[in-house]
Amino acid sequence: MKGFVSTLAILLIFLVVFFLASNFSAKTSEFLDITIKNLILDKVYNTFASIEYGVQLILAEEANIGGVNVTIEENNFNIVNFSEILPRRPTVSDFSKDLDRFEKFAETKLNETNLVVDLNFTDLKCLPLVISPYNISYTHIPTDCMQAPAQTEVVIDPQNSWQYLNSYTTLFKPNGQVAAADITGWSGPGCNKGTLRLGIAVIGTDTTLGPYSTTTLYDKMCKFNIDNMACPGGFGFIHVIHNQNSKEEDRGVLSIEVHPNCNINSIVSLNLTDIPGKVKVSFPPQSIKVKETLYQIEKNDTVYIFGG
Amino acid sequence: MKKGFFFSLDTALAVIVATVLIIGTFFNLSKGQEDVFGRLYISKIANDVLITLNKNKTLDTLDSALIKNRLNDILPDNLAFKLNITVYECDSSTCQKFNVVSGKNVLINPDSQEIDSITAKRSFLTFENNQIKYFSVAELRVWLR
Repeated sequence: MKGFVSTLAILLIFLVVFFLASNFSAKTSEFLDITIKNLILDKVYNTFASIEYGVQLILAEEANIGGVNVTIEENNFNIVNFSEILPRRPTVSDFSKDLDRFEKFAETKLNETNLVVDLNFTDLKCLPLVISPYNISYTHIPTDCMQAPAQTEVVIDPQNSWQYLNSYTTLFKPNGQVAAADITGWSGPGCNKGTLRLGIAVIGTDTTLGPYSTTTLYDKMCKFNIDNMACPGGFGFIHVIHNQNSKEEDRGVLSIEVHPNCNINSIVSLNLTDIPGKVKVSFPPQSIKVKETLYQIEKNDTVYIFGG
Repeated sequence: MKKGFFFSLDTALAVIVATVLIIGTFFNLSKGQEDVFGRLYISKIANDVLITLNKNKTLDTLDSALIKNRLNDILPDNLAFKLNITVYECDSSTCQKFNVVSGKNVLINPDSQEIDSITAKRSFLTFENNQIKYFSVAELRVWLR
């Protein structure tokens, strides 16, 4: 009987030690798993960040985000300024070619076993820019930007965010004389009504036209035409049109059309009511995707110019 | 005879059970010996160092001596390292393939003996006349001395 109790006690001690060791092992495995996931998260994030930084360098190196200079002034209001030469001629730009090369390079040389790098820079070349958190887009038409120099249009589409839009200010600086141009002034069913302020000024080598300003209804058309301007390629025009088709769903949409004969330094400023969230300017979503296939860890995001 | 047999059987069973439990215990305990947290820490250091060298434009120089000096300055003394930068350029204007540029690759401490090293990898670009000249991949291997 005495021997039986001793044996049982020793067995129990062994079992307790074994149980504790198993428990320790399970916790260690859990910790190991979390640490490995952390290592992979870091790897995915670092690969993403190095590609994002490369794109930012390409865009910045080759003249202010591929030809568009973006600035933000934050005060009681948020003012976002876009400056570029219109009409846009992207096919001659080097940044588009370099983006293609970098896309090929990253997809070839940064792909590893269990790590997939998938880039979509096609949409970047036309430089559509998104202002967050307003979901306002600054885009170029045609959207593929692959056609020969053609009429370029800039559309600012507030979609559901039109109520945060207070004003548009546009400034054009053609490198030529403007005094002889034909100005029709603000005209359309929306003009001189409503609360959306529109402003335009043209600074030529001979004189300054404007500033001309008006207010408009968000859901109605109001436009300003400057025709018969002396441009490098012949006569040209600048048309600034708010809500071209007077549509409810196009509230706040602004189109800027510059004739292909011209090369005009154009600045568009949006005055926006401040809302919670940091103002960010980025490319459209899902430009860079890095995925680890074993643990299914993925980072799929865009390239931020401001506030990323 | 009968008594001795049962005694031996009992002893054998006890030894088997004890051995299994001891081996199991040591096996489970040995799992806790892997220093994975240490590896994570070293990996973070290695990646941070590469990011710093990329953003302060040191990597772009492709200057072996300069990069080595900076690495010696930045990395903690208890870490040894090996750096390999492979430099590529487009094969043609259409850039169908990327060829390694001979004479441009950077190798620092290539013969160091690695012990359980961690690798950090980062791509970077070198520009000339506002256009991409070289596409490079830097691999930094770091381990405890």
